[in-house]
Amino acid sequence: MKRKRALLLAGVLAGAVFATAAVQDGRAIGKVLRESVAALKDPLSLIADRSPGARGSAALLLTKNGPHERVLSSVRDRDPVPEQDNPFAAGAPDQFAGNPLPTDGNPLAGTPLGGAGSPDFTRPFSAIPAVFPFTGAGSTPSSTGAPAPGNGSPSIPGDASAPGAPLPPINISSPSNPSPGAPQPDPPPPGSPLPPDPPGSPLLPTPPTSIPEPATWTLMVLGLLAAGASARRRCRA
Amino acid sequence: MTIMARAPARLMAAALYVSATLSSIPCANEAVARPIPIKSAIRPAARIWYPQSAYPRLALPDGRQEVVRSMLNITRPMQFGDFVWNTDRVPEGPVWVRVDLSRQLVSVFRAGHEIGSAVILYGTDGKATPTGSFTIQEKDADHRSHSYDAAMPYMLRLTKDGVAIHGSAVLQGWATHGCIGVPLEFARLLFTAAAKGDSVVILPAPPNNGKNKS
Repeated sequence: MKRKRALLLAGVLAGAVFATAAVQDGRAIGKVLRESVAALKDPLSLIADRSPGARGSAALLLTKNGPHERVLSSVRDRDPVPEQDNPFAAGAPDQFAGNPLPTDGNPLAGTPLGGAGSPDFTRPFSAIPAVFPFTGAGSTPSSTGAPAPGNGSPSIPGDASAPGAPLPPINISSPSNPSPGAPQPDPPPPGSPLPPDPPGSPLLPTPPTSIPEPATWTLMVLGLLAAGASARRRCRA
Repeated sequence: MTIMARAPARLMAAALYVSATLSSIPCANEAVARPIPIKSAIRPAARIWYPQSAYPRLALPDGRQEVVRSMLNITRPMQFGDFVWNTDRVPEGPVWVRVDLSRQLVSVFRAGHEIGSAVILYGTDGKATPTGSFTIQEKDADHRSHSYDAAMPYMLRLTKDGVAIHGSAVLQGWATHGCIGVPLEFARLLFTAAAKGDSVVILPAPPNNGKNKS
């Protein structure tokens, strides 16, 4: 009986203590709850923390090497790449500044040389003379389609290594298909050495090679055998 | 030495190229054993639950406000190609998508709970991504763009002129022509979760960020 009374008294006492604490610390409990809610970051802060950051003005240049046309020509709604952005034609206007165009016998006489900064992309390819295209490795035809001044033969308007200097005459067109109207340079006398390449010129074609010699074939076969042996050794390993 | 000097340089280079190419071809065993690196979802994040008495709200461009009941707890900045998708203990409900161009992030909410987030690509090249409130007008899991002749898997069309959310290779430095590119797996999950007519809000990017000259 005494034990029951003691337990009841202890319960009442504990309840009274808890109620007193709740009343006295009501403000403190509410403050803790509010602080815990405030500790939760708002959604915008969470989004900002996980963000890789804003895209910088130069971010798109990390993988883009100059302008690209990734749109079908049928739906292209912007101008082609401007001439001044083309590295091969960067020096063209300055190079031809003040040099009059040859007009005698030139099928492209009067064609603007990009002085206005815009190439003539509307001209069909059939209008380009047959003597014009280079077929050598690394060759790039001039976007203006006009020959270099001086000798009437095609040249490299964008060659910045020798601005203004006319290159030696080059004509690799087929003799059976001479270009009408284009002045042909005189062939070099037999036995004369080829003119030296100007430094940095990537467009001078190498003379056409004939059928590879047996030594070349041997070297190629040896290379293939070496490659096969290497692959076979890797597979075994 | 004489032979080497007489051999044409081009053919020597060709022989070396062929040799290098053939030696770089993996054998069958290597092709099976070598894992393919694929960026996948980072580990499921814990969720931050907001108390019912203090639900935060996100303001939308059209003046509306959306209640947020919980957010994904992603504790580190996400990389390009990363995404998180977690629908655990999230009830069914209306879905809306929040695209933040300035943060390069997309968040998907269902019943007020964020269920997905990913890094996005958006427009450039004079084809900036439009901003504002949109609704999903069309869904096509195997869409191919006629304008760009490109695959746009799990496409969610937003505008009549072709702006959409679709799967892309989300790589740093890449951009779109106005669409919103998301990782392919994220696009598949979003395609499953979203329905035609669901709301998509696109918040603007910093000035001149989507109008670079290139």
